[in-house]
Amino acid sequence: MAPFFDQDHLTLRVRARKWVEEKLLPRRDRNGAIEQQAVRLARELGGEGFLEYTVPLDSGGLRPRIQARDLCILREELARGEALADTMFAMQALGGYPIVLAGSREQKNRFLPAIAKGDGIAAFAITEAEAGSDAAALQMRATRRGKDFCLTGTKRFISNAGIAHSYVVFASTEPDKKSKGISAFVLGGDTPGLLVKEKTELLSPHPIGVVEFENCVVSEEALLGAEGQGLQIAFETLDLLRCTVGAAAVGFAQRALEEAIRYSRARRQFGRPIAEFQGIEFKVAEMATELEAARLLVYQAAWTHDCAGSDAKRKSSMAKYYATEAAHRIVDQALQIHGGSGLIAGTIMERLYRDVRALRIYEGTTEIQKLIIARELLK
Amino acid sequence: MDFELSEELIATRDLAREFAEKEIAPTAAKDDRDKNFRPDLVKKMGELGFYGSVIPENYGGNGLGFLAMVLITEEIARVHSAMRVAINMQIGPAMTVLEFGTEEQKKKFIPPLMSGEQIGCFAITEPDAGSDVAALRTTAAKDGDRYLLNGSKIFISNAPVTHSGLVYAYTDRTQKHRGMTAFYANWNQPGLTRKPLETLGAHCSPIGELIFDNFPIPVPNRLGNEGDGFKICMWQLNQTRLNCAAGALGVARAAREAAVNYCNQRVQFGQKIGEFQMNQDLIAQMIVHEEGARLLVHRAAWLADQKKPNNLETSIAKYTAAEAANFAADAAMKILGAYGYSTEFPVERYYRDAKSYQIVEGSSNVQKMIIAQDALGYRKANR
Repeated sequence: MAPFFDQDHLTLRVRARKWVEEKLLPRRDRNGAIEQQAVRLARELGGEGFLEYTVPLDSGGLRPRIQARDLCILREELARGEALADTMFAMQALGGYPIVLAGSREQKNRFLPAIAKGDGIAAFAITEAEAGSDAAALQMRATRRGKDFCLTGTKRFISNAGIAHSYVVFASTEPDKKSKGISAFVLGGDTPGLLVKEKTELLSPHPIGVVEFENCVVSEEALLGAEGQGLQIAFETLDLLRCTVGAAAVGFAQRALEEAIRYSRARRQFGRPIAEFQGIEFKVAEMATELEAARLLVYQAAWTHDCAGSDAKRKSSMAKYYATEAAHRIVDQALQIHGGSGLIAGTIMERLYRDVRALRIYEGTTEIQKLIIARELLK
Repeated sequence: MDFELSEELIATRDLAREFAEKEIAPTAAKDDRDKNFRPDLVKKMGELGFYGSVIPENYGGNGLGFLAMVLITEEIARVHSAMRVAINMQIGPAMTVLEFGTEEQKKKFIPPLMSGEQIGCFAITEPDAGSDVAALRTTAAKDGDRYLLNGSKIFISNAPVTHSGLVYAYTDRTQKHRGMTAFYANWNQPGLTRKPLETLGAHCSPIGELIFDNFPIPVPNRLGNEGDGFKICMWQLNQTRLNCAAGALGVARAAREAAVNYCNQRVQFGQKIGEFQMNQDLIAQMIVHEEGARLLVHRAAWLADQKKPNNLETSIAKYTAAEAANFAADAAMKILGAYGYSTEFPVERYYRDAKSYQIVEGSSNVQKMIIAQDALGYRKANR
């Protein structure tokens, strides 16, 4: 892995691994509402300084420029420990980066230092009922009224709905211009008219829900970047985050492989550890090989984003596509090795099986990644 | 449901198996290596009635039915896939004439195909018309009591050796696919150039180009009316597709048998390699794919014997069987290792021959398109 990393990346990985092993894994207090767990995790991640990698130096972060490699290392290590820790970390990056990209000095000062500390929880609201992969089809309106905008519409699958302190929201300011009429806004979580309508329960729990904007009036200071730049901001944000989804997949798969190895050595059937059966050995070999390939694709994409620039889009799509699909297979095989005990609710394998599934869907489905890859190559 | 074959069908299958093992197997490897076309075997299969199962007795067939056809085809393909192609090149044109021809055409064209006296073919594909059949460019212009063909066909099985067969051309290009017409042509006329082509597999099945330069076809050789060609072509492909599915089944079985035999003989690390779980995994998968494909092929044939529509079921069967053949050939090569890769043993031939089944008579992708569009309600397969 060394070619893609500087010494400080390697140090960060050791630090993250240590925190996961010593603080996250031994924790037993997973009771309580998911929202409370999420808020607490965000604070802890902030307290450890991990969230400082999600914003740049001039806004309370650590590095002059955000690096995809930092985000990937942290997501891999956190996902290896616990899905919710990864989600909370990733959301700070996703909800913060549009402000990094397009925010005014005031907007940056208001939101980013809090995101870097974990005191401010971030949300990113683009998806709607009829606008999933086809983001440009969004129906939410932001109508200008003098120096204000009135936001009307409903967003769904919004992570951190209800606990977020900042929401980056995408709405159409000029519906006639279609995708070029979409603008981005950043709102405080307490903005009147911003209502959490529903908490959505998912296969793998995390705070997520439906957010409705009813007569939500904000001043034009809430506009992020210029009018009509919204989709560009959204896509540029996703370009950074895409390979990090692959990194989370690598983290889940790494954990699954470790669990499978541990279990197959300990479990005895037909008079010997099942690890001695070829049926298991070959699974382990295939899982480990796919995992390495996925990890290389992820860090190559992250390195390309940080250091080379050109072709980063295609490479990050390849990384996300391959790593999330591979992780799905690896987790499935690890569960197969565990047999019935992998199905018991609350066990690590049962959790991983649920946790890994969303990665092939969010921030661009596998199918959308393939479209991006093919179009980059064919253009 | 009755999963038992009738005694008559079992006897037919056994006859084909015996013929394949006695007459085809001994020279299969050599024929493949030397790219020998075997007109003698084509003739013998005709004499044994292998082309006649879907043709009534009064046109030289035996009317045993579609199940008999797929059983015979599987047995022949199991021993040598390229000889299976020869069967389809006789059956395909004969069935099409039976369905769309006049009484006179049936009497004239079908019996020589049944006996193997005439070597048949069907000429659809062109350089720019593969899956998109309607894109073909060959034209047939009426000239008195004949049509004159101009254009070229490519990847036509039997092109270098065929005596007569089906050809599709546009009589009116302005009508798009409704301007296509089907003909049954005798190739012993001036205006035809044949060019052989080399392919990865099926080496004993000659294949090539047919190039037409004012090639004459008498008006009485037209099948159906002008403009019926596309409909006839789609019908024909569904029939010949079923034969391909049965052929793929034969290759899947041959590869599986080779793998099982080898597993029971080869000893490594002190035991027969069949005792290693990894090889058991491959063999189990080969059998599951093959058995699933066989049931699908038999169902499609059974539907045809019941005179029920079977386009969808044939696409499902052909797709599954083609994938099963390729899986099995690949798995057999893994199991046999260097012996599988060696041309001393037949597994590398299965590997080469299997590939064509994912391509001919509608590629795997086209089958999936047919299956999915039917399921989605965009285009019903059984209309």
